[in-house]
Parts: sequence; structure tokens; C-alpha cells
Amino acid sequence: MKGTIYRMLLLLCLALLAAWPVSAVFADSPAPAKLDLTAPSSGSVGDRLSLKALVSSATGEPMPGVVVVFKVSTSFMNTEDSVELGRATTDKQGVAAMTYVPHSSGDLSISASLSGDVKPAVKSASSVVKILEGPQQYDSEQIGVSVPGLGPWFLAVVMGGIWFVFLWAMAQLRQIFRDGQHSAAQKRTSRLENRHV
Amino acid sequence: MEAVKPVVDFEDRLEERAFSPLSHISAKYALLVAVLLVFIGLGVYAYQTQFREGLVVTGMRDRISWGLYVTMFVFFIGISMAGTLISAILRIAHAEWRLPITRMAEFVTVAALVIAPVFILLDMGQPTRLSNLFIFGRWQSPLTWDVFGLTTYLIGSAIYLYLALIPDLALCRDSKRLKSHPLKWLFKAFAVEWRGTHSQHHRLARTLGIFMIVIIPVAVSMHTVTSWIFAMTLREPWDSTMYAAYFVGGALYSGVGVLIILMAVLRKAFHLEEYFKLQHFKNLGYMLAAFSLIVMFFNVSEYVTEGFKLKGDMHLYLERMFVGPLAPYYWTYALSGMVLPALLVAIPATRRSIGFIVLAALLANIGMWIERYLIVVGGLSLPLQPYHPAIYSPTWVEWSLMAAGIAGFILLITLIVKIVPAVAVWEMLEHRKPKPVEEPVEELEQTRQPGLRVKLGSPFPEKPTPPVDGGRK
Repeated sequence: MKGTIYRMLLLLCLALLAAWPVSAVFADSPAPAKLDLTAPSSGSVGDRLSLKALVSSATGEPMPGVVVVFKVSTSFMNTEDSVELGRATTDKQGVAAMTYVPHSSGDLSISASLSGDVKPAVKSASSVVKILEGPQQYDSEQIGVSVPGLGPWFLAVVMGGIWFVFLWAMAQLRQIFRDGQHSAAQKRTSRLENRHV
Repeated sequence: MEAVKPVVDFEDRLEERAFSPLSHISAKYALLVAVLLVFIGLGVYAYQTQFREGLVVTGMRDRISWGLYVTMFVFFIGISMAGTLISAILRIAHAEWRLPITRMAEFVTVAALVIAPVFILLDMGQPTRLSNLFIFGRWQSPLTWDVFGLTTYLIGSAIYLYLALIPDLALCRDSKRLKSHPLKWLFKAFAVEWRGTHSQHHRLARTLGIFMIVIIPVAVSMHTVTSWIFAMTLREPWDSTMYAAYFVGGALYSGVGVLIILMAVLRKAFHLEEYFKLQHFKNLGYMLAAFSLIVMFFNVSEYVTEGFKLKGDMHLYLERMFVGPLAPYYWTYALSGMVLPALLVAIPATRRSIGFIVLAALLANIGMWIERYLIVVGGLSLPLQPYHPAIYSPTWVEWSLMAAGIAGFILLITLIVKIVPAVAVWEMLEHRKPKPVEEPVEELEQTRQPGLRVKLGSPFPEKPTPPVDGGRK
């Protein structure tokens, strides 16, 4: 009996020894445990907002190489949902960053969460940014390719050319009318002359 | 009552056939007009409902804001291609077989261009919103280009139709058959003193010659701009550089189809069998088959490249179209709207029958209507937000207004063929007559307008006359 207990203790020790390197690996790469989101408290429509998420372990060490998903809450006709703004991977400092340009004013509820099925689950972080009306339209007023010398005048010239042909056709109609009148008058004259003869 | 004289020669027979529909209104004609008016009346009632209640009575909502109305607009713009362009191309190509059909093609264009913008007004809800196009219109917008393009094409097509009508209006004015016609004053006023002199012929030929060259790019640009309304919008399914070519090809396809159908109807109704022969149907059938192959090519080219890359939401769009809820529409369009019409014309046994060629034309037009529906509704149904694809079900208001639009189009053509001859009588007579003796050069020079000396070939091909002496000299 005693021998059996010793053998079991020995096996347990061997099992612990075997498990030691695994736990050592776990100790080297701890699981992400904390997520903090940093966003400005306010901004204006068209501003570039800098969104940063810090991923750290339970002991507070930064976690590099973790993919963070940034989302914004939306509501449409009583349907609540969130739209993904973008994804970023954390650097050596455990920071994942992206910029976002708000298109409308109001309170913007931004959240950050870890991508994939992370265990144990990490609570997502959120922040509300107050967006004010911007000084101007957020869209850039200068878009497209600017071709020197090309503008609405080109459209006007093309249309003008076509309409000129239309007007010219109308002038030709007038001339056809006159030709007909001239021809009818000639016929009348020759008929009168024939009668006199 | 005037005794009916026996019709002996070609000229008399042609005039009799062309002018007799103008001189009386049959019971069948009156019944057809009445039926069409019933449909238009239903449309007026539907519009009254929409005017009173707003666009909420339609199936259109914020996500699918273009439905049957815009589909019909694109469809009518498409068939308007039939006339002026086909007529102009065939005139330039001196295709002599075109002579009896050009007039009808021009009717189709004008009627379709009158009806098409009505659907834009319907889509706007309140018609007063039309003014926004001018108040807030921007040069950079394809919608503004479309307004200019449509107006120019409509006016140009109407002038083109009228120019080619002048000698026939003069024939109507001078015809003994139409001596007591109530619209005699109209013929006289619009015949602009046409006496058939050489200088008038020369002037008309030159004007038509220049006009037919100008109207082709106008027609092509009209369809191009209509396609750009879609292609220049940031939506994945419309994001295509070949949309303009696709629209022009599709427009020619459906346009030829409508022309074949109209030709068959008028042939039967006005007993024009002598002028609309099987060969005319075959020739137009060949054009139909050729355009169907072009449309097929565009389909393959577009979907293979898009399907290979699967950029953005194209995966969802193509899945919905090929195997999803839009699949019945797409495959009906592809098989019975493109493949079957081409086969009906390609197979000699079916090609020999006017009925089969008309069936091919009918299928082509049903197919092209579905294709327009898929472009408009299928494209808009794809969500821009993370929601499910949108659903659209047209209401009775939209179906009624669509039926009224089709009835209006048919009614316009029905009325036109009762006012002016459905075939270009003077061109057909001109074609058979020996070449007129040339007037002295001095006289021609006098009649020519100073400053514009464009010399073009006559658009009226003349048949070489056999020498009187049998060619012995």
C-alpha cells in the first residue's frame, strides 16, 4: 500500500515536471486581459480623429501583434447595430491605432474589441466622442482630375454645335419654303403668258 | 360616293395603300384607341393617388428608391434608339431595303422620347421637384447631362422625322384621295410649299445628309449619358467602365425588336404586305441576332471579369443574381431574352416565318426590360450598411402607371400613323424613278446658301436606269 502511494507521488512529480515547460511558455506569452480605448472627447465634422487601443496582459504588460476591431454604434429605424470602422494590429507598446473622419455631428459611440475568439474573453472598451458641426463641408471641394482648359465650356461648345445644326436645318426649311413659293409664282406667270399667247 | 378606280401602277397602288389609313377610321381602330385610353385612365387614377398620398403608395423606399419608373425610363430611352439611329445608319449605308421602314423607325424614336421623361416626373413624386434640376443642377452631374441630352435628342429626332416627311405631306396636300381630309390645312401648312423642284430636292437632301450624321452621335451620347447616371454612382454593381457600350448595344437590340413588332402590326392592319416583305423582316432579324450576340458578349465580359476579382460586394451581388432570389429574372433574360431570339433568327426553318421573327423581337424586348429591372432594382438592393439586401415589391400604382406609359406609347404611334403615311412614299417613288435631268450648274449655284458648302452624297440612292437603246451605242 505504502509502495503504491510512493509510486503515485512519483508519477505526480513526473507529471508536474513534464508540465513545467508548458507553464513556462504560458508565462512567456500571457493572454490579453485588458483593453483600453483612447479617443478625443470632442471634434468637428471632417476632423481626423485619432483612435488608440492599448492591449495589455493581466500583469499590465503590453501585448504586441493583437488585432483590434474599431466600431461605431448606429441606429436606424429602431434597429441598433454597429458598423466596423477598421482594424489595426498592436505594436510593441501594445497600441493599435487608426484615424476616423466623422461625417455627421452628434455623439459618436466608438468601441474597440479584440478580433477572433479570445479566451478568456476581454471586455470591449468604448468611448463617446462629441462631434460638432464643422466649419465647412467635410467632403473635399477639389476632387477628380483637373484637365487644364477643360470645363463646362466644352459641354456648351458641343451642345452649341449640335443646336447650330438644328437651327441651320430650320433655315434650310425656310429656304425650301421660298423655293416653293418662287416655283409656284413662276408656274403662274408661265400659265398667264400661255393664255395671252 | 366617288367610284373606286382600279389601281394599276406601282405609284397609284403605293399612294392608295399609304393614304387609305389616313382617310377613314375603322371600328377596330376606334376600339384600340378606346382600350388604350382605358389604360391611360387607370394610370391617371393611379397618379392622382400618388399625387395625393405621396410616393409612399409605391413600393419604393429609402434603400430602393428607383423602381419600375426608372426601369421604364431606361427601357423607353433604349427603344428610342431604334428609329433615328437605325434610320440614319441605313440611309448613310445606302441600304435600299430600308426605304419602307425608316418612317416607322422615326415614329418609334419620337414616341419613346415623349414617354420616357414622363417616368422621371412620376419618380420625382411631386412634379414641382423638376424645377430642382434646374435650380440646383450642377454641370458635373450626369443627371444634368441627361436633361440636355434628352432634350437635344428629342428635338433632333422630331426635326429629322419632319424633314423626311415634307415631300409626303406635300403628296397628302395634293392627293385627290385626301381631298376632303379634315387635316388638309395641316398638310398644307407643314408641307412648306414643297413643289418637288430640283433646288428643293437638293436642299432637302443636303439638310438630311448633314442631319443624319449629326443625329448618330447625339443618339449614342444620349444612351451613354443615361448609362453614366448608374456608372458614375458609387455602387458596386454599377461600377463598370463598359456600361455605356452595354447600354448602347442593348438599346439597339431592343430598338430593332420594337421596330419589327411595329412593322408586323402595321403590315397586318394597313395591308402593307407588298412593301413590308419577308426580306425586310429577315434583314431586321439579322440585325436583331447580331445585337443579341453583342449584348451576350458584354454580359460574359462583364460578369467573368467581375466574378473573377469579386471586388467588394460583387460576391453577394453575383450570388444573388446567378443562384439567389434574382436568378429567375436573370436566367429568363439570358436564355429567352438573348439566346432564344438569336436562335430563332439563326435557324433557317424559323427565320423563314415572319411570326417567329416577331416572336424573337418580342422575347428580346421582354428580356431587355428584365435586364433594365435587374440593373436598377438589383443594383440598389445591395446594402451599403451591414444589413440584409433590400426587398422591393411594386404596388398597383406603379404597375398601373407602367401600363399607362406603354399604352401612351402605343397611342402616340396609333395617332401618328393616322395623320401621316406610315411609309416614306416619296422616297420609294424616288427610288423607282429614272434619274432626273441635271439642272444647269449656274442655277444650282444660285440656290446654294453662301458660307456652307458641304457636299454630301445624296441620301436617296437612285437606281441606274437601263439605256433606252438597249445599250447598243
